[in-house]
Amino acid sequence: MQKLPIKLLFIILVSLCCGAAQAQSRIVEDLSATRLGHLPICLYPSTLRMLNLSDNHDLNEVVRDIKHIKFLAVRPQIIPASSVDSLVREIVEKEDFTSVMTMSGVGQELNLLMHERKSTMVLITVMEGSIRLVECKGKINPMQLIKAFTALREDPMLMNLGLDDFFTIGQDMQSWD
Amino acid sequence: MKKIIYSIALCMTVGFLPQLLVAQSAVMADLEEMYLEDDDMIRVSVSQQMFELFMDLDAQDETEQEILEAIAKIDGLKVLAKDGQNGITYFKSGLAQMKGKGFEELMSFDNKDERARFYIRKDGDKIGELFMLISGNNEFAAMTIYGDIDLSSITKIAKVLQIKGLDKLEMLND
Repeated sequence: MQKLPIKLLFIILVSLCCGAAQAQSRIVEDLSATRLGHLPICLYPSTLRMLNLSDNHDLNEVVRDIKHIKFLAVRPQIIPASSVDSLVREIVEKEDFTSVMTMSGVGQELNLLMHERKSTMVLITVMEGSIRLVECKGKINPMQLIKAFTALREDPMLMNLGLDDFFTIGQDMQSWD
Repeated sequence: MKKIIYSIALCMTVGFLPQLLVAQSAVMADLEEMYLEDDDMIRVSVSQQMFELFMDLDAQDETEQEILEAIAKIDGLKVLAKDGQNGITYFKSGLAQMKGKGFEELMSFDNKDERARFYIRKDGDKIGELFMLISGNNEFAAMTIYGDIDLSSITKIAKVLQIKGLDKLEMLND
C-alpha cells in the first residue's frame, strides 16, 4: 500500500457531503480562480453520471444531489506540501470548517473538513509531493453510497473515471514555473 | 489489506464516525504512541461531526434503520494499519498492549494465514469499546470503535459493508 487508495479518495469525495448549502471554501475558490492551483476540474451531477460508464444505478443515486465536486492540484511552488497543516488550519480557522477525518501514513496525508452547516466538504491530501484539494458541495445519502461502493469494488470499470491522472501528476508539477 | 482499509475508511466515511476521544481506551493511544515514528503505518481517525451526517437520513427499510441506529450510538473510530512482512510482530505487540487495560476477550480466530482477536471494554452495563486486532502474513490492523456498542448491530453493519475481519463477529451468532 504505497499510497492511500485513489478509489478510496474518490469514494470519500463523492460520498460525504450532506445537507444543502450555500457555503463554499473561499480559499479553494481563490486558488482555483487565481490559477494558483492546477487542473481545476469541476464536475456536476450530469457529468458524474456521464462518467458512470457502467450506468450503475446506485452510483447515479449517490451523485443525484451533489451540487458540484471541484478538484484542484496546488502548485508546490505556490503552496508546498510541507505547508499542508497551515492550509488546513487556515481553512478551519477562517472559514468555519471542522476536521472530521484524518488519515496519514506512507508519506501521505488526508484531511477531511466539513463546514459547520454541513453543506460543503473539503478534502485535502498530500500526494506525490503536492497538495490536492477536492471540494464537494451538496447532499448524499450514505446508505446509497454503501451499495454503490460495493458495486465499485466489483466493477473496476467504474473506477476508470479519468481521475487517476489527477492524483498522479505530482512529479510533473515539480518542474513548473 | 486494501479491502480492510477501503472498508474501514468507508465505514468512517459513511458513518460510524464520531469524535469523543474521551471514551476511547488507552490501548489505541498507546499503540499510536508506539508507532509514532513509523512512517509506513496508516493512521485513521474519525470524529463525531462525520457521524452527525447520518442524523438527517431517513431509512429506506428495516435493515437501514437498524444500521443507522447502531451508528448513532458510536462515538468514534480509529484505525492503525500496515502492510509488510511483520504482521505477526505487530499483532503480538498489540496483544501485549491489551493486558491490564480492562478489556475482556470476546472472540479469537486463528488459522495459518490469519489471526484475529476481538476485545470489549464494558462501561457499566454497556459495551463501551470494541477493539479488534488482526494480522495476516503480510499485514496488520488494529481498530477501535467506541461509544455504546451493540454487538448484534455491529455484525449487521459488518455484513452490509463487507468489512473483512469484523465480519468474523458473525461467528458469535452461531
